[in-house]
Amino acid sequence: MLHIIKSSPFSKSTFIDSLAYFNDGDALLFIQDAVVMTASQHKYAKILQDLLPKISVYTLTEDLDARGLKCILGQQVSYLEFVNLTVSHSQIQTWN
Amino acid sequence: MLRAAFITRQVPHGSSLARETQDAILATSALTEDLSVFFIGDGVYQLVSKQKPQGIACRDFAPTFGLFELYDIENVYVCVDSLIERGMDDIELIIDAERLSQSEINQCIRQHAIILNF
Repeated sequence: MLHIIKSSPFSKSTFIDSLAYFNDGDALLFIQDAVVMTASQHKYAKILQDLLPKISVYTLTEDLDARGLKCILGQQVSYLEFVNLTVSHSQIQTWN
Repeated sequence: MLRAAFITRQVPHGSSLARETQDAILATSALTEDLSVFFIGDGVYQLVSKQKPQGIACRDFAPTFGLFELYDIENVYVCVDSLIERGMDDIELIIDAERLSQSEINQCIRQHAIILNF
């Protein structure tokens, strides 16, 4: 399953709420304000780090660049790779 | 003259709120010089330099913070606890905002008659 997460973990509990629903082999994609998840070391990044490598972590490049941030955890993906992820996963859920 | 405090708490570009808060601050500065701006919580991300939001069709409004000085908005503060919590305390900020702790900001906000929290 691909989980798409869109909100900052500091402002909304989206990421914490979603944690219990990750299974081994799932993929997480951080877009919009959620790109702060993988941009620096903080308590939520630490939780994410512990999920690797059982869970794949992706962050959308355009949303990182927009905010002047750099990915330090998992892989960066372009819009095209974002589309490929949605095609290669039969199940997707978006966490608002 | 009543003192006004603007508190901004949003990551930029996910919604238009951060940009619109900046508009409100600049507009208000025409009415009063006794204005303070506080970047707290996720609002600290607005001050990250070298943002390139053109790729997601958003306006790069961060350089406009540089106009604060020209508009006589001199009381600009950033929460150092928010920066530390986000692992962002060693990054370059686009303006030279004064770094205050959460409790200092709390004290400072209380010296304002009007408090607008976005």
